[in-house]
Amino acid sequence: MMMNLSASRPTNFSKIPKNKLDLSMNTSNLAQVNAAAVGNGADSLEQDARLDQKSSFIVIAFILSGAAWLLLGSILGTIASFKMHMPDWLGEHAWLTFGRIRPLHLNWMAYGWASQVGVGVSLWILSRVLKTTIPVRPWLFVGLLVWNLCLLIGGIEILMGHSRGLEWLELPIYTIVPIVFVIVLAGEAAISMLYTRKQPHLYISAWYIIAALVSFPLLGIVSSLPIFEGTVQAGMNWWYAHNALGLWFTPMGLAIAYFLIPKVTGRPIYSYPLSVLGFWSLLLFYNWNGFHHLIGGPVPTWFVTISIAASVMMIIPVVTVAVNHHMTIIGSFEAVKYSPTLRFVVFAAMSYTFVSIQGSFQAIRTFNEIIHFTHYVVAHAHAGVYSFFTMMLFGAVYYIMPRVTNWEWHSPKLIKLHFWLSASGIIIYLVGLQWGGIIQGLEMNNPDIPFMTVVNNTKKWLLSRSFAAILLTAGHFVFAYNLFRLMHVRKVRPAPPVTWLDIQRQRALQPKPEPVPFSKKVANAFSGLNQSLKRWANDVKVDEH
Amino acid sequence: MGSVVLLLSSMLIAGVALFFFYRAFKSKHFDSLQKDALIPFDDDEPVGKPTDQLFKDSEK
Amino acid sequence: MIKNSILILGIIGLFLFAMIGLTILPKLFIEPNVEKANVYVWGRAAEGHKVYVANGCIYCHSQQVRPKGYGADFERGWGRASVATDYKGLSPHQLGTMRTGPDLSNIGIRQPGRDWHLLHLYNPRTVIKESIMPPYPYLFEIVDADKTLKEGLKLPPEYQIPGKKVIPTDEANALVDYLLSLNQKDPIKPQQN
Repeated sequence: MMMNLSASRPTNFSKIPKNKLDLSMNTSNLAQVNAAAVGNGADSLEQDARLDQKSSFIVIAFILSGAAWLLLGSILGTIASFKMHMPDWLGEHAWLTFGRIRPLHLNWMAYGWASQVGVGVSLWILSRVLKTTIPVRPWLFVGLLVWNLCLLIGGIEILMGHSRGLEWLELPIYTIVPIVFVIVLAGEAAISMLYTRKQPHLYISAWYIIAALVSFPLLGIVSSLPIFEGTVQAGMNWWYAHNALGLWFTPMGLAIAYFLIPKVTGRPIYSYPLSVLGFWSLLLFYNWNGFHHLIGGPVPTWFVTISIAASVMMIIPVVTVAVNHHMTIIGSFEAVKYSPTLRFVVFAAMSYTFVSIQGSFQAIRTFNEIIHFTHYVVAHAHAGVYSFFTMMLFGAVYYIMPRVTNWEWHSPKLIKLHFWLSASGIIIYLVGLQWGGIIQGLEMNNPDIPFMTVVNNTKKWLLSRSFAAILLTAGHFVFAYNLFRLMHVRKVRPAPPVTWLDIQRQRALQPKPEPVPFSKKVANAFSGLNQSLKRWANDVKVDEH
Repeated sequence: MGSVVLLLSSMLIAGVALFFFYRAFKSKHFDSLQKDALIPFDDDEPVGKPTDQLFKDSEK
Repeated sequence: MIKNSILILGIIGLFLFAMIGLTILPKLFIEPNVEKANVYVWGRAAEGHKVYVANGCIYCHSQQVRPKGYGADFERGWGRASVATDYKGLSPHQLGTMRTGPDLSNIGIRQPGRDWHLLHLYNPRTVIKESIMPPYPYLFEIVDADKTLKEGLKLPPEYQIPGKKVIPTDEANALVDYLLSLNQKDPIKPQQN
């Protein structure tokens, strides 16, 4: 037991008694049960391990399935990006035309990668914070298979030209409805976990996850009703699309951050009451944002103004979340450095603050006049779904998978490589298209500049986006490889992780080093770089025993 | 016409929200809110101890 | 378990509140005016609308003109501010959110020539050298020149295929009819031949 405390991984499953979790007063560790003020039940590491064991199959299934869609979606996105500045490339066939590849990229990424891994991770987090097992797991697995079938069929339909024609809703209705049913099932599982929970209090992550799982089916149903036409349909379109971000992805992303930041740093959330305020204000304001996509459009102005007001009010929940996350992290940046999960999660959390404030500014008419209809909006969209949500999911997967497989990631260096590919890729993407988008907008608003000149000036930014696409796709293949190696278990278990306190203790025992002159530092850096490259090249090769 | 609808409905919503807020306050919901922040922690992964420190010191 | 129900009801309540505001209320306010207007899209233009949707034209082209003084839409000659009746009878709407290419609300007036549109669809770079619009060769048939009496496209020399004619399919013709019907002036968008 003492060894395992520093390992912070679940104990060997064979040591856990096979009968049901015993919450009776006979448990020998009961003296320590009262450790946390809110009462977590019997021996917690083993309870967590048991919960993880129960949820492992279904959570792994959702994560691996989502990772497959990530790879497919990345390839499609890269092709689409190249087609924007090389339009004749692969241009002969109908099923490869930009107008079909681009929506397929969006739908497979949103409803394949992001939604599936989101559901898997959310159910795992619920299981942990509510201290209860995920119910109806076989049905959820069947649901996942149905979901994948629908994505596949829907994708073929889009490539054949049978898209529904509404942005974010291109999948044919007969494929969306089953997916909605699967999410209803996941929501039902979540709500029943609310009622069977052993944890009397609801942690904030649970609130967000329930909000996501309850809202999304409603969105899916209403958007599928055939009662909308014309501009009313446009309004419904953008009410749906914005809520897909704000009521589906955002809550799941925040739930992950609220759980993993405290869990990894070992510090509770800075101000819990603030997080409650953040939750309800998010629900109140985010719902109304939709019409800010139609500023200047053919809808009555007062509808648009309501959305603009709501978009600006979003600063309230965004700032509360930012304060909470930032104040919790402050002083533990070393924990961030040594945790693969927290690298991704903190990057994502900072991106959330950025993209939300950016969104609030984009809704203001003066700025909107410039960036509406430009590549800036595409950059903003990717800041939200990638820089925030996808990076958050990466962090969650890197935390959860070892705990549900009871194995360790084989190469920390590959995880670092994944992080740097993703981080640099998305930063290049965002800088390129935001800058290019502003220029495009300003030039478009100047009627003396011919339209083709505006288009020509965007080409270099589109090229930079293609470069970013390659980096991102490479990172995703590294991610997939990491998952593959984890699942394909070798005989030798990788070394257990070292805790931060141990590191500090070791450092305190070492004598303080002599100060090094700057020139020597530079020389050391070069030779160190050389050695690191050699070591890295060796390390990536698998140690076969 | 639109503004009347807006004004009335926003007053209604604000009233409902305040009512629920009042009820929650009365039922002592807000008395120990910060305690809920301790839910992710337990004996083996307590407050003050970072977890998941995969990148070892030697790999810095 | 009062907390459970407050949470779930609160989520649903706030959701429905905004849903009514952004989907039902617009329906009630906007649709009666649109119903009264005498606007139709029929004939081959309606078929062309389906081709427009099937090929994702919306991802680069908008069909909503912003009011004068907001952006340079008016100065660029893209038209007057769009109104709800402009979109009557069209589902799915194609308002669009990107202007990689120009707004198309009045393209039927700006480019009234059938041949220009057919060439442009076959390969945009036959008429605009620096265009980044994708080509749509699959909307056309390439047949031997002596096997048909139909007129082929008048392609520039570098795009001509020796001994062959490029004939537009029905889909291409329908799409061009749709594009030619796009203007904000006529209340009735008539059938093209």
